[in-house]
Amino acid sequence: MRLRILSPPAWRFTRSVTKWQSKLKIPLAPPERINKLILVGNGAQDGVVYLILAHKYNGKYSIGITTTAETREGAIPHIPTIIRELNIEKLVFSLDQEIDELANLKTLLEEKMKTYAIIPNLKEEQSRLYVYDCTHSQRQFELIVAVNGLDDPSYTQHTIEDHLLSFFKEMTNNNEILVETLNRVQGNPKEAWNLLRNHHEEVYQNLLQKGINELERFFPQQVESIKRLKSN
Amino acid sequence: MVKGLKNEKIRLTIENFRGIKKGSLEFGKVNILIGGNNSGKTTILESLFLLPNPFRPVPYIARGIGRLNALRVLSLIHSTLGSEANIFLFHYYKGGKAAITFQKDTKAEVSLQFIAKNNIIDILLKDKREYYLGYIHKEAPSQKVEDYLLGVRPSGEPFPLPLRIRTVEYCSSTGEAVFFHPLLLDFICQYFSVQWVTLRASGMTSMVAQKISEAVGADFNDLLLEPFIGGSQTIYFRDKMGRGVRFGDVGSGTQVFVALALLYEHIKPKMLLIDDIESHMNPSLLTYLASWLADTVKDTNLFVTTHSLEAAKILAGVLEDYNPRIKLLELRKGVLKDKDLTLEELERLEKAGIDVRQRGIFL
Repeated sequence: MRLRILSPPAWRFTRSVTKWQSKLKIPLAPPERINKLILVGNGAQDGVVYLILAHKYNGKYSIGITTTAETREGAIPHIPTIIRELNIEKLVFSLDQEIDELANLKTLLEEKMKTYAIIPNLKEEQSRLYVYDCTHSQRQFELIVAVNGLDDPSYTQHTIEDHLLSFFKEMTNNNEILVETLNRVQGNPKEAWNLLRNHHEEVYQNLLQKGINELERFFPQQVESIKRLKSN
Repeated sequence: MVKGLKNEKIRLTIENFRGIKKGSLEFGKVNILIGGNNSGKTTILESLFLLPNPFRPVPYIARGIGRLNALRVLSLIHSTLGSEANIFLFHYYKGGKAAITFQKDTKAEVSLQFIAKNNIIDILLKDKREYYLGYIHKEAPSQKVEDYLLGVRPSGEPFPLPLRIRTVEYCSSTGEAVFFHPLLLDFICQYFSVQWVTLRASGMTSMVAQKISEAVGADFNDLLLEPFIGGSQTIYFRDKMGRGVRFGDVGSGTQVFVALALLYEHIKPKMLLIDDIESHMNPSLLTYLASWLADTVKDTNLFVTTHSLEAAKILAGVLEDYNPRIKLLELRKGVLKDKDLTLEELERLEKAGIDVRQRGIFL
């Protein structure tokens, strides 16, 4: 599966995903029409993770990826524009759980969707993954909401970095670096990951060595969302 | 909307011309063309530039060649490693027939045709009547205007239609068209040097020098043509202290603005065609240029191409009263496709993370 970056070139999201795509030598999709899209609600880091996961999920199928000017639930008002203008049939919406309760976050997202005339019909729910059949105006589309985060109490909030840090811990087989780093930032996974920036390339290169099933252990909801995006 | 402004409609149809195998688009008074590379933007400007008569002399002079006709300007722009051949006019150099058809509002259709046969290309123009404009060689650059006032073609065949004797004319249904690209700056300066007395006497040089001063914070009050070191003539900006700065020594954006403004004021074309309008332009100077265009183009159809969304938004915003059309273009296997976007749609898509210039996502 190959990604096509749709966001404006000057955006930080585009620059960051392009930088890692180039460093990791991951091919991007050719400029052809796409009808499936990953909408990232929290910025560049999610983009890099999806770049790697999509690459590991075999096939030449092309999928768009972008982010919006607003983060998290702020992206929802843009979904009608994306669906209408690009004729999107399936959309993964990826966002960080942060400090929200999952049930509250789900309600918040559904309410926001309704405010923007998206009628969400929940058809399946897994841990941090919600699959909706949505209607907006006359259009129907599938929305797969993947909430980033793990049930690990060492993090004070839950983000895509939870997943990267847990992979880092296993990769280095050394819990001490992670514990020490998390202590320095009061358990904030985003800040901890930033402090470990010298290890980012090593982590990404190691992720690329793993099979999709192994990646699913560390990124369960993200891999599941990609599988669903690919399926008809 | 500007008082008294009609909602103009122009239909342009292109067949087998340069990168475009086929395409038909509707334009308005002010048109901002955006799209990826190789999406046909420049080809549209070039077709409009040739349309009034490819043999007419245009305001460009090339060293060693002299005054250029419209066709030769394009031939020189596209020449690679010095290669020039008129077959470049046809899609994939296949020859056959290429046509550019133009209709403004309810006026009669104008059609320019290039018909390749053996080693020559006949050029015909049809407005109310059909005229034979002349021929060019497939494998050689287009000659000077006077070379076409011949009785017979090299093959000895008679002309297929009555010769339009005054090949220096432009077609009255389209009016004159000026094509502007920074690559043409030297040709334009050469032309200005020949026309200098007219330009100075009309007061245009001082007006334009003062305009650019407002835009870039300089204190130029006129443009002069005077000898430089070594004795050759050059164009100077003169400031209020009487000092001179050579045209080529000021910033490139300043040169572009001045050349474009002088050219426009001198020719007053019915169609102003600006390629890559953001080239060399700081956004604040581009805003100033847009504001000048808003004051200037009341009697002109404006077509600009840009790769910059910032430039498209500046132009669409400043020229809002002319109901500008932002036209997204894409070429697919030579077929030209388009989509009209409003400024609001452009901004909404950008906030939604969609760069409209990407190929294959809309069209």
